[in-house]
Amino acid sequence: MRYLRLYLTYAKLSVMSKLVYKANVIIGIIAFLFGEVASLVTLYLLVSSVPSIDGYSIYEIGFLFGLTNMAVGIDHLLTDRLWTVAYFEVKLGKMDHLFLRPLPVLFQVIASEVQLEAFGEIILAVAMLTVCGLNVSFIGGIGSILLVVLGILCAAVIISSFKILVASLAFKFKRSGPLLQFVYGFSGYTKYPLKIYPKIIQNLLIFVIPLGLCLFFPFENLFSPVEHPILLAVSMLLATLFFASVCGFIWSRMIRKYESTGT
Amino acid sequence: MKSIKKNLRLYLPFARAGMKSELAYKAQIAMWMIISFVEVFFVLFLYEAIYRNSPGGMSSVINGFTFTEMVLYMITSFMFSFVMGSGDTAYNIYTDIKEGTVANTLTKPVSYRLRHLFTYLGVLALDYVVVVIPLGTVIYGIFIGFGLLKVSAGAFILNVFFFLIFSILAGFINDAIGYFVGMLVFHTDHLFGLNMMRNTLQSFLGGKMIPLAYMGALGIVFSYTPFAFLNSVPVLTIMGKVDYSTIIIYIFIALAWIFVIELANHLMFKRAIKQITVQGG
Repeated sequence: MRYLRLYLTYAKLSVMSKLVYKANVIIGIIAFLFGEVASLVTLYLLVSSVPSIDGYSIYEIGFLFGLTNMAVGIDHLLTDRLWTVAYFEVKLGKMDHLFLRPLPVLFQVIASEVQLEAFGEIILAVAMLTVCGLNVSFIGGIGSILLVVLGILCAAVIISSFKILVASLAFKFKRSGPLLQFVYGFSGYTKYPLKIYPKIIQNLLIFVIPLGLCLFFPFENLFSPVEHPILLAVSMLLATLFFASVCGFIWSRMIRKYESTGT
Repeated sequence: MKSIKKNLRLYLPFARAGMKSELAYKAQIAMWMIISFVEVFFVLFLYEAIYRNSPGGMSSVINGFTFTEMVLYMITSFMFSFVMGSGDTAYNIYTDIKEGTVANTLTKPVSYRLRHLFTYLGVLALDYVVVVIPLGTVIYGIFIGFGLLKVSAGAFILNVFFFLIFSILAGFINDAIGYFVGMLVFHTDHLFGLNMMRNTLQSFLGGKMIPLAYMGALGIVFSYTPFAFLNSVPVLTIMGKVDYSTIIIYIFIALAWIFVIELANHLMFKRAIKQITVQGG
């Protein structure tokens, strides 16, 4: 409860400080919205040149695009400061003050930045889920929809955990931004049906970085419901928990290597 | 002639400095290269699925591209866009403004524009030597060697020649756009958002995300925008997919864009320095 109260205080401060520069917030939101619309148009132009891709219609692929974008948007909204940790803060020794407070450093890093630009991605995701959702025929019931919601949340946690893992490498190597950029790209690959990839990549996205498990399987479940949806939900939760724990553990080890800059 | 020599003596050290600063981040260049190629690797799976699902199968020609041509287009495109993504005139101007060093640079007897242009040309020259020439030789060596790209030696040499001309023009356009974004930073300090919009425009209108041929009539219009010269035009030229009369027209259009953007930059700079306020200390 204490952490929730603290989180809300931090988040409120972050939003207030960002809103001082309203024009910047608007430019940021438009920039992200613009970027996502461009990749959506690209996807449309590509997919519309053939009747379907491995049996998926353009609306079904659009729906999957929306699911991934929603997970990416939630992560972007809540954990954006990890980018500056990976790129600059460790290298410039700007994190000293976080170590002096009686709160976990990771909590402070995450709570101190609410990135309003993420609404560019979230707005488009909502639009895609609505428009494409109305144009596809789902077989699954309310349980399938809940599974999709759970999948989005798990995927957001997985993306954030992966960012935590890679950002923590900066404590040892001083800078891990480019590597973070590289692994962050994996979240984009789940915008397309897993089936277009070779088996090795499919397995990578299911068992190693379980984004495919949490986004693609609930998506598939909407059209051809699995026999045991509870089992799928438990698998998603366990995979997310395991992945997040491993990433959290690596952060807790790496943070010990933080060195302040000398004078 | 004397003044050109004098100017070169004055500005070449900036080009050398640009090269040196780029060299200082060798590991970062290597990492970005890996990122770019993993990205293209994944995009190719999508294209493979599209060709596999088209009525004619893998031997289909979609919007003027066979699958092999599409692979070559995407690889060349990512390599070229990688080089066009380096150099950071907009960021350098942003730093000048943020740290107040813009005041110092304005008092020096060097042109603010030419200083940035030469710094960028240094970076670009290095990227060509380190990335484009070796990688391009390997890629086109493989494609021509294995008969995947059918072109006569004479035609290919001519294509490479025009590709190099477009590369130089692209460098000037790219830096002019970077400087234009830098001028906008005088009015808003949100460089990240501005850069993001610029990158999206560059990727989409430049045909990096998808060839402009997929966009129908709009694609033809986009092929005359300055962004097309930062990817689509040079890449299609080296692939031999642009006829020579169109190439000549494109060269004139590129020159016209350089003139127009530089004129806009000049006017914006004149306006910006009138309103700039630098903290005293």
